[in-house]
Amino acid sequence: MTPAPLPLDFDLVIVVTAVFVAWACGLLGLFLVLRREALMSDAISHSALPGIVAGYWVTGGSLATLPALVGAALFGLVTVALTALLTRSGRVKADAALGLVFPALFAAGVIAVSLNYSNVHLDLDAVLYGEIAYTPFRTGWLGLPVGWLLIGGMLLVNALFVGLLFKELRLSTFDPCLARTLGFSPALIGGALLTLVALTTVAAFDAVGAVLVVAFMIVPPATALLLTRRLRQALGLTLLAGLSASAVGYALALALDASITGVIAGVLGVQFTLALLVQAVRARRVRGSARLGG
Amino acid sequence: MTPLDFLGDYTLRSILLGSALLGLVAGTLGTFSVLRRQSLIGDTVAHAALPGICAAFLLTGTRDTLGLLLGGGVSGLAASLLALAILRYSRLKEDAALGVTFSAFFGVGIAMLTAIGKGGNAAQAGLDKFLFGQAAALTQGDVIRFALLGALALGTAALLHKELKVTLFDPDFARVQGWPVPALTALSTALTVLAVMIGLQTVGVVLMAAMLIAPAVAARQWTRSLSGMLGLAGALGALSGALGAGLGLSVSPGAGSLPTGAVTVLAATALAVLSLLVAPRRGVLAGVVRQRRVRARLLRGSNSGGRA
Repeated sequence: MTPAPLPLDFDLVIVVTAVFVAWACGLLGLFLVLRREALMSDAISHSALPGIVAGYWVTGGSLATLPALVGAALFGLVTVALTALLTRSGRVKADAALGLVFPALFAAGVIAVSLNYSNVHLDLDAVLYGEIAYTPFRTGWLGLPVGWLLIGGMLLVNALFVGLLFKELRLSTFDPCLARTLGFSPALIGGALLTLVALTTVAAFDAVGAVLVVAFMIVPPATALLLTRRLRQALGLTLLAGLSASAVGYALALALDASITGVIAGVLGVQFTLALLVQAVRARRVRGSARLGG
Repeated sequence: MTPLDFLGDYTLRSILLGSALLGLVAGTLGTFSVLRRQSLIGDTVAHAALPGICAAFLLTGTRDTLGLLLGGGVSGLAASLLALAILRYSRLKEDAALGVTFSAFFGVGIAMLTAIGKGGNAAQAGLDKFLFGQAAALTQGDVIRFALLGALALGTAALLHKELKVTLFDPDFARVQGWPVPALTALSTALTVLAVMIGLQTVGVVLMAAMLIAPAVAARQWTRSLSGMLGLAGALGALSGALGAGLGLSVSPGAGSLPTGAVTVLAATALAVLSLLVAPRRGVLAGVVRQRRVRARLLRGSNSGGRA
């Protein structure tokens, strides 16, 4: 990773990276929110830690990105599987099952770090926060930023998944029974969705950190669902919210000299609040006209 | 190290007692959020405390624990009330409401933390300890404060036991009785915030969620009554806290090389998994045995039926 002379504009690289992450996360996040599995992204982002440590251990302590990513993705899948196992036992509700699995895996990761690598700089902070400001300095194939290649690739995969299986996703989300009757497995589609969530979370880790990944997975879809009840419109609004929050958040972060990812997450929160107000006003108007009509 | 060493040594005693107290309070109060299917509200509150902690630091300029916890408590409470408002005024479900509030609050907190960091203030270094927790730093003063806060939280819950119970299981009935259901829900959430504030310093943001959930899940396996579950969850929480601190410290007496918070969480999770497996009636093993027996009886029945 030599800091090659960059043919691309610094600001552009950062904003485009953020938008790639926003879109890759939002495409999946919309279905996660609709399936009431929104917090799965938060869980995966935490329970990936032992996977990162394992990748580090297997490679004998080199801070290579690829093994760490593979390990993290594996533990993301372990989280999904264990949660499903607990929920399906019928003894624990889905939210408690998730809350049992991810802190335990995170705790195991914390212990593994402090027992083996307390003297090595395996930076927990970097995993949790990421540092998007470094993306322009790490260039790979064709001189493009590594972040673009990794997250752009994930965006492409997710777009293909949602585009090609849109009908199936919609049906298995809203009416899993009909989906099963029509002959395709909603569990299989749900599993594929969560697998992609795990991979996307991990791919985006390196560039933007866990905070922003989780924010992009949950907040723009929730905002969109406040404004519309149509799935296609919600998808469009999700992408729009992610795009605008990335651009506005980056500009604001520069002005405030604060963490880019933190400010973008804050802007997403403001967007959501505005949408909530719009929805409340709309609901009141509907109630008012109903009273007039009655 | 013998148990006597723990009770004799000032530092070790503080850590052990502090962790056990945290487990007691979190375990008891977590029961309400687990039964309300808002298990992860602890995670939300713990994350959402960050901007409040930063704001308190900016206002006071010191790392005084009480001030920071107060700030954290205020923003944690604001976030949880916001999540309740989202649930009430939109079609969004628990997971989305909690996820939206904590990621936005935590994002703002991170932004504030970096802004403080760039100010070059040396005391800032201690702020991120709140993210990961540090049981080894507990002092006798902390333990006394935990005990007071815990008594306040548990005392309120005991006083309003009947009201909280009915609001939890039959909100419609509570409404008909003329009780302020939203206020009672907000109150039980505020109690959870208190528990999280106690735990933040000991086990940290991420692991706090587990201290609310795991003891309650374990207790649910053994009992069918709410008061039984509350008591048992408190006891199991205290046991996990003591086990975690004890194990953590005996493996590494160097105070802190094995993170006691993480060991505590693993102890609580182990108790929960054990309960899920072996508890009578609700346990997985009991289920398997029951299924076998029923199958055997059915087979016997059909055989004798064939002969007749």
